[in-house]
Amino acid sequence: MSRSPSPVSSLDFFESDPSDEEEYAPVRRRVPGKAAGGSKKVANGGGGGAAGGSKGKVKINLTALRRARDVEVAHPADGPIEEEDDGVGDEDDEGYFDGMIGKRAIDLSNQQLKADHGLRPLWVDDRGNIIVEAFAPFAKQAQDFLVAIAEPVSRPSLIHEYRITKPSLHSAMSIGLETKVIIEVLSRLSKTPLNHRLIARIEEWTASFGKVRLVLKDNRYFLETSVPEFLQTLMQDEVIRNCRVTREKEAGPTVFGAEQVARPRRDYAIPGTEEARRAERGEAEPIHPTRENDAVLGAVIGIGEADEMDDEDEAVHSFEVAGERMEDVRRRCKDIDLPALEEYDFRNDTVNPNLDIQLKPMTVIRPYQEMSLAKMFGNGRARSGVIVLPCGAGKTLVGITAACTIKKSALVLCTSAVSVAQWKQQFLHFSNISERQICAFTQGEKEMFTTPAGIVISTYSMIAKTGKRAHDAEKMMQFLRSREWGFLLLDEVHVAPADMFRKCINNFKVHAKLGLTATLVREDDRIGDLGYLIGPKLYEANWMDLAKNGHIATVQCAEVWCPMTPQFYREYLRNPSRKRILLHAMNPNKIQAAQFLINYHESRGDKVIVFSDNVFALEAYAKKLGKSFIHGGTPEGERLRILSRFQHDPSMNTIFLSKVGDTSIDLPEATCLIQISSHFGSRRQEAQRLGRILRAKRRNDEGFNAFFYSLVSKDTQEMYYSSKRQGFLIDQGYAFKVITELHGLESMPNLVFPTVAQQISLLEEVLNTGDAASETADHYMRLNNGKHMKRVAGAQPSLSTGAGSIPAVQRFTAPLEHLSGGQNLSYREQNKSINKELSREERQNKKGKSGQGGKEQHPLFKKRKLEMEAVRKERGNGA
Amino acid sequence: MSSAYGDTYNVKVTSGVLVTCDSAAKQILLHLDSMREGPYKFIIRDFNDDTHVLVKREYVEDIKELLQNELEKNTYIQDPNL
Repeated sequence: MSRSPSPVSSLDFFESDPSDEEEYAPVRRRVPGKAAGGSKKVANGGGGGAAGGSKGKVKINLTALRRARDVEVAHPADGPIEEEDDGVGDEDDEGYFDGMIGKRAIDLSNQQLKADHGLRPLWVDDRGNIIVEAFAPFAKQAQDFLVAIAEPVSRPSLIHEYRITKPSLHSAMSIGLETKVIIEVLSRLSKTPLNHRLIARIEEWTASFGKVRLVLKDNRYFLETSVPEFLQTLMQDEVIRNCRVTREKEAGPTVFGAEQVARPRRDYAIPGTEEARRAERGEAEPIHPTRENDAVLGAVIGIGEADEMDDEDEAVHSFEVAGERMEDVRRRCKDIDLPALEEYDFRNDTVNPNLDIQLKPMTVIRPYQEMSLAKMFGNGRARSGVIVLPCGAGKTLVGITAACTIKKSALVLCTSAVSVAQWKQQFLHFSNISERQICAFTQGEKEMFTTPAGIVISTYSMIAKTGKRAHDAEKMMQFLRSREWGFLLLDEVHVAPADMFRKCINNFKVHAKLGLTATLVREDDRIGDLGYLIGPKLYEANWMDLAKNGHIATVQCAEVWCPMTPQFYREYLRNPSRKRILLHAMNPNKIQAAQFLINYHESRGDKVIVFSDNVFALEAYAKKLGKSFIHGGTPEGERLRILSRFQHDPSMNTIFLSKVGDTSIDLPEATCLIQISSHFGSRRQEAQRLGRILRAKRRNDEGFNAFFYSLVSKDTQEMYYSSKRQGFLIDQGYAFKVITELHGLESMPNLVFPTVAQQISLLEEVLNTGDAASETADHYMRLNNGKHMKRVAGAQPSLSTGAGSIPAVQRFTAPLEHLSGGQNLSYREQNKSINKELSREERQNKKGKSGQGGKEQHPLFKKRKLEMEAVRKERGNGA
Repeated sequence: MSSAYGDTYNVKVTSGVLVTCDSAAKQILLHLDSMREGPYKFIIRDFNDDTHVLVKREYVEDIKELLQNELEKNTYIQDPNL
């Protein structure tokens, strides 16, 4: 790995620092783009003072700031700093709910600072963008307030960004904050006087809130409003008029007319909280909980206290709209600035039978979970929306608690059969629901509950399936469609905007919807669709806060740059992009780096998960390094065996996982994660994978850190994608170190591919594999064929193929003995997969147990028996 | 340089520049060169190592630019609109 300076390489200012061997000489990462000047200065100069207050105007660059927190601490930044963000650190504007205003750059250089601006933590511009100085004296209170009225955009350690959007204001309104109060507190916290345009905007947006409601009554949807003018607007609107349903026969007062509705108060408690427990014990509530110390803000921040929207009981006008066109109606209402509020008054719903479900007394929910639920049930009704919590922070419990609060029939949708089983088990674990009230609807299980109310758990693909279904599945679907559901819970809701899944949501008669996800990002711009498919973002947890409080593990993130070997790079340049994926994944330097990191962390006692999207690379790595692996083609039994060995066997500390492990596989033992190849620039995948180690069991140990490495082949597309992928996590406050050289790698014993000759033979092997190998998609994950195909990755035609099904045609160059299978045979023998060995061991263990009494068999017979068994098994597979 | 008596020894003189770079840059140079036609090829000699290559002097500026473009392709710029 000799590196000499290249004359024009844009990468040559990364010098590794050999003095710091412990941490592999990390160099702070430069974000590509305009940030170069600032961040470089900070990284090199230490206290050089990017944030010096001497100049009148200092350019503050968020990215640089975020990386230089140590420097920053030394400089109390309450000096006269003027924000002149030049746009660095800005992210694409898509991917957030619409209703937001403008871009994220803030220019307040022409504004007058207030005299005591040092105490005030906010910079607010006229478009609703807010920057919080998280180190300022009132920052904590300001953030409590902002979480209620704005959406968090980016929350690294010192500077946070928020944005006021229409949905965020609406959720603020629904927990009882009033326009006047919002504006007043905002202007009190701001360093500069609030812009009148912003004030006007806030007033305008909050004015129409809550005046139009969408309710489900007796299996029919109604648009309700208490203001006759709005009713006129709605009726005259073309889109909505088309969606209207008139039923002449029963045109009674309920269909189009007025009725008396009383506004409910929040007079119930979310189960599992302190409040609820006190109520159970019959104790009186303490008069004012805790907020009194901050007199300035106490009155406004207390969520759920100021809950009186002083509506008198009013006459409500309503008309029915067609259920199957709900999406259009919602979208249209939003477009004409009369957002329909969907709230479910579950306590006064007497039509749908109650479900007797309660959290078990031992179940305790954490403060942030309570907070998120408080936003959902802000005013005594259930509001539809999305709750964003990091992986491993207990999304499941939030969902279950919500179901326990609503106490009606619930439908839970998740992504895979594995998570269906997990949800069911969690429901039984956390709540007192009985086994016959809860049922799963998957390919294997199709049962219906017989009680009047119950819970059904299914997968998106089951529900969205088109075409012919099995008889019992069809019956089940009819059952699901015919019912009215109190609560629809959507796990991993970021998948929902996909076309096929939209149907799931629109097909059911549902009162309240709750989406749960860790990563509210998609690489297409569909995430905004969630706004009218489900509802606004209700709550988003701060990852760094959760880590600080020990709810999730603290993670050190690093990007390891592995130079391509010249031979591989030559082929990389010459080959089309499909093949390139395989070439940069199989870069020998990368394999060496992976080996080094695995060895290093295993020797520290870490449990390591290695992720690779590319199944060919996955198998090749695992075999070369002698570890076991799981991918889509791994049979269920083998999977479970490997996972349990990983959890319990101290001698098996590393497993390789393909995409199947991105979500749903729950391994609290894992403390270190290495990513070899990934799905292009998917920010979601990066965060989901990080989630695998966030729930590390050892997270509360003193000074414990989990490690997340992303191995990147230098000078390839991976560099581009890697930077893109990190976007989401960086917004959550994670900092990625860049490691350019792993010290001690060359001197490591048993280094793989040490000689050029071996590397070249690896290259040959890579080039000779079929096209299918360069695909990153794991066939198991393709939702349209829920059954996993037993597929042998790459061009390693195994002995068992040929019989039965005809594999897809593959074209590859290979020596002649390949045709006879000779080459394949020798390959197998040299490089046995650990997976096989595990199963063999297991079999032997079993045999040892069962055949204890018998006489010792002659090895010859033993061998024959094994062979016979193998043959029988193969027949079984073939058939 | 050719003699008055015809090109008996077929001697040509080209001034070259020795480029020292990292192995990836060298591979890019070789790749760029292989895509060019006869007279436009810029590499005079490829040494038997990973970091050196001899190129024609008149192409040096071109090469810098080409190489830069190639490397830029792998750099992620967050939002080009801003």
